[in-house]
Amino acid sequence: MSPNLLHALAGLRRLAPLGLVLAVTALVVPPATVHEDPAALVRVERAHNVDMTPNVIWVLMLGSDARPGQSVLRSRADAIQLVGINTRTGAATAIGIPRDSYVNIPGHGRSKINASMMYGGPELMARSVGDMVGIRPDYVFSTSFWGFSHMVDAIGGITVQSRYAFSDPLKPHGFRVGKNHVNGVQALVFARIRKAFAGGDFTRSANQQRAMLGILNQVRRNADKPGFMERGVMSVLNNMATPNMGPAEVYRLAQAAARVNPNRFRTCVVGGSTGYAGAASVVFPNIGQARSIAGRARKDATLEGSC
Amino acid sequence: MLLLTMSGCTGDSEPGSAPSPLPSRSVDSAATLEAKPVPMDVSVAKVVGGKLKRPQVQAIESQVSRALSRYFDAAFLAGEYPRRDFHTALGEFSQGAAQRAASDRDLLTNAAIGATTEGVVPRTKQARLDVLVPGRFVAGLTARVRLVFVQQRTDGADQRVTVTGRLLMSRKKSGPWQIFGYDVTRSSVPVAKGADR
Repeated sequence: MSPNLLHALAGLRRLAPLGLVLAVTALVVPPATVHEDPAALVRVERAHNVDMTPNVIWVLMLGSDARPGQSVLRSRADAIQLVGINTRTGAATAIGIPRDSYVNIPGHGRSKINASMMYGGPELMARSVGDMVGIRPDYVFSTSFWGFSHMVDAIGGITVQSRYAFSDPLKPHGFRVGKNHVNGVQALVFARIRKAFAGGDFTRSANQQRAMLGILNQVRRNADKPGFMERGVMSVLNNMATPNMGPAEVYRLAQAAARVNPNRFRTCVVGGSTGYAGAASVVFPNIGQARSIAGRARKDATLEGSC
Repeated sequence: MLLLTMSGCTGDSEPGSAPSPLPSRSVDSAATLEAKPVPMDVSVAKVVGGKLKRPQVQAIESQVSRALSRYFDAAFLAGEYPRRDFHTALGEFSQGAAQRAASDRDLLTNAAIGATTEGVVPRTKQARLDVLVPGRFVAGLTARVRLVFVQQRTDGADQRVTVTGRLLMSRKKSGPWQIFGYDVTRSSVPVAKGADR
């Protein structure tokens, strides 16, 4: 890594891959506990917390379209989620950004935001997102879609809530409205498909957030099982690039992320209108809405009110 | 990638099964000046990622055992009861974790019951360790702990107290193991009259 790139990275506290958050959003952390089994009616008190500074961290989670052999740090990002995690309260907010959002990319003029990764890697991606919404991420996680699939499998699959019924050859009976338990590949389909929906890119971004919630639920349900968190973190380390971040820090971050309470996980997708920039189909994002969401959630990762 | 297949297992025992020696009750003094001699039972249960040689396993068990023993003693078992001073109880926690634990002191220590306790009799001190070894070095571990002790109350209504859950631990290079996170529960049940404390 060149000194210039290292310098550029200095603005980010750490760079690392998405699966974690995926893992993170549980992965991110924990209600499971080893309970006593008293015979009488007994009050059982519980306490849990994880040392993480600062209390609120913002993680840019990216799903890269990198093919085998390509770097997830230099390929277009097809999934873009900015996630704030309050490790003290367990609240979290995910801001979904349509990948075709047509924005200013520092040093490169206007283009689709997901091209930032190709132009300048995760540090430029973080700057582009930061300029768009007004929050500069502390960490960047990036994984390939297959890496995402592997991580979902490593935690035993997830349950996603679908708003729409749709079919796909990889899920024999298709996706139904409501709960769907999916394995890694099926989770990947759920997070990637867009042409089946009138909402296109916006619905896909919302489905990515539903997949994140599914991961969070799965992690919290199993966090107290022997070795579960360690296996999840190992999967993250195996499937995500984690430049400037050692395994011990990933482990701590994962444990902190697992503190997120699914009931306090709020999601919004930045809206906008579709159109063309030259011959390219793009999304003109609602920048005012994006900054409003980020402005309300910046301090405590807690989003009150509507998107 | 089936990461589950990468998990090694050096044992699958769980906290809670082995009986502990029963210390005799102090009759000449209500104070427990030192923790009663219940052995700290610590063992590595799972190794995830790489492999550990037996000496490495033993070193981890020994180091973590010392850290957990210091915590259990400082927070629950040692000291002179009735006891009001618990300011060193979280000395094995990282600075940030200790700060966050301030609001959970009643659960993570005996601070809430120390003044009405005339003695503490340990019954079980156990930990099973799940260790993450992504390369040559241990990145962190989860200690699944179980601590049981009898609270000898000043009013005679003794309680059997159980603290169980997970303590998340890491260490800096060559430094001691520290607790950077916790997820524990605490419960207590009356000790029946005539029952062995």
